[in-house]
Amino acid sequence: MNVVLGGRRNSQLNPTSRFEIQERKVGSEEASAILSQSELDSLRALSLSVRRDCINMISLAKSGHIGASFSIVDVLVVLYSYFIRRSPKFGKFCLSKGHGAPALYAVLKHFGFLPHDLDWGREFRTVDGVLQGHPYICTNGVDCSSGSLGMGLSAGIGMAIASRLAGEDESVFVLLGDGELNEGQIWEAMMTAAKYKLGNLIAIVDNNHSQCSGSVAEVMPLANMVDRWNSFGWRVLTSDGHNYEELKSAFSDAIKPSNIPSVIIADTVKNYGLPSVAGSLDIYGESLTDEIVKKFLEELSI
Amino acid sequence: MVNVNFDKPLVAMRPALAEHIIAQAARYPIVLLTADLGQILGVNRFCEHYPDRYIDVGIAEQNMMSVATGLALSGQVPIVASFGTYLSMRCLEQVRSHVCYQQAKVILLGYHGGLSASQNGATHQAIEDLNVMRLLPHMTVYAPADAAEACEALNLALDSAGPSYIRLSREAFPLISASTSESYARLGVRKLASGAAFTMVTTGTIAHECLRAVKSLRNEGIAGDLFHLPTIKPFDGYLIEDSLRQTRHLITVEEGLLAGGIGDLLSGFFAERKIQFDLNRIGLNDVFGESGTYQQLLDKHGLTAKKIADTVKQVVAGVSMSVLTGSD
Repeated sequence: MNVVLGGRRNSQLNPTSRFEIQERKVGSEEASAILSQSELDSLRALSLSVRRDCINMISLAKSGHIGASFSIVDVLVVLYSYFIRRSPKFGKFCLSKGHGAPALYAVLKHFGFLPHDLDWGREFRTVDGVLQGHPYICTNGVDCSSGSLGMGLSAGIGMAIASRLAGEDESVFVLLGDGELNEGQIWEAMMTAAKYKLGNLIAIVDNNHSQCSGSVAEVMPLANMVDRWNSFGWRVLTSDGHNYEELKSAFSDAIKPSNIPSVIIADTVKNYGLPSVAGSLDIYGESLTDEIVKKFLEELSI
Repeated sequence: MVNVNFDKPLVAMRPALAEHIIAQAARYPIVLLTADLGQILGVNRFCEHYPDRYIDVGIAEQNMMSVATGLALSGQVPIVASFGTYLSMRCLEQVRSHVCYQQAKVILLGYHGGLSASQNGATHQAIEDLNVMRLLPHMTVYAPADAAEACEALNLALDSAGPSYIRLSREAFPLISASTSESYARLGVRKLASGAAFTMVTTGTIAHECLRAVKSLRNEGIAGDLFHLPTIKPFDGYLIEDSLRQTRHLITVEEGLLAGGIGDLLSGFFAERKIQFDLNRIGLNDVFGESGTYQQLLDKHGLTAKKIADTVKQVVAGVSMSVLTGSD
């Protein structure tokens, strides 16, 4: 979709065409969308491991969001397996729905951003621990703090612009919740990203159809998500949020050199991976008994 | 007493700062952000020099503040220009949880500070910006009295590691700075007048009314100390402490709400040091502003030189502030 420049005098002084790029200077190779069986097995094993880590850290702290973490695990697994590199660092990530932090921490640990011997019980949601309840910039691997919903896409814009000013084209990924789209700031950010033609900005919506007080349809209906993003000047891709091949294909498409920001609407399920509670409202650490933890870990060992 | 010629040319902060930002962009990776106020604030000239580094997000302050955060976290130096009331209230949570919590080096320029939005009325008058900003951990807060101090505040903000807020006035004032030999390199506490009768402390451009008041009081034989705080956070009152131990009369003058203002700041500071003094705060006492000319508004809230001087005379004569304000 073309961006129409406004008629104000300022548009002469504020050309958006300056961010047009001819080629991606720093980037990842064209990732093949087809995954081999062994890759699929590895990704599945990693997802299970991440979910077990989430249960462990949340049960030890007796605090944290299981459902919000579980719905984003597979997105994060694909993102960090193929599109974010630790060393030399390439790719920025902002978990705008910050309450999914346990999933991020487990993934960061697996990919070496955090020490392999990290003690969840000592570090997660404890005073002086290195893992805040919501991501904090001082934790290695966290590119932007979050927790109060609605701010991450804007921060992603800042990072995307900074990368272009530095003469690079680093991918900036921002993971949003569908409930989080209630926040007006996100729509402000959507307009700005389109205006400044930030093709290196890729949003992902964790479309699990659920928010704190009920389903998204009940609390604040958000129909026609594809059309809404499209009308704000974004390129919209869709994916099953738990299908590795679809996710990898969507990300590969999204990171292609472009002057249009992209969004991947990832259809997900809250509490995915726990058949006994999949699709229900979030489960919080305070409600975990030893029995429930045991049951969950059993479901995750299959 | 600092020698200020009140008939000197008035220097407006907006154009002076705009030119200074352009000059400093040669040395720092500045990105200037605004929310559709580039023309009004005079900062759109920056775009002619650095079109890639001028971001106008439209009327979207919350987005603007978080975009600035992302830029700062990536090594750029964002300067965010808007009205003080929008920066301090509309996007306060972004300032708090994105900028200050991460100690992101974002420089906030709060224009139309205090009552200087005048006829635009209460929604545009930043009467709580300084109070709110100083609540935030890691925020440095400046309230320069003239255009030279404003540029110096920007220099300090550019050299510091974390976020800063600078309150600017819509009105123009003569330069105090040029007429004093004191070094203000760090913009700490500045002593503008000396005397044993009272200790007056002020911040921001209302210092000019304080200077006029102190001059007229001196002509009537009542000479007191006048301190200006170009920086209200961090604050160290030790330079004022000696004065207050002698005079025992503390008069604070601020173009803003009293609650959480410099009156509260100083009274807490000195009370902790067990200094005995009477506290007399001049400012807006739990009321919003309203439309009016700048002078009308200053007069209504006791902030003109004449009314400040009258208050001081009463204080020195032993009348308590609660009687003066009718709050007894």
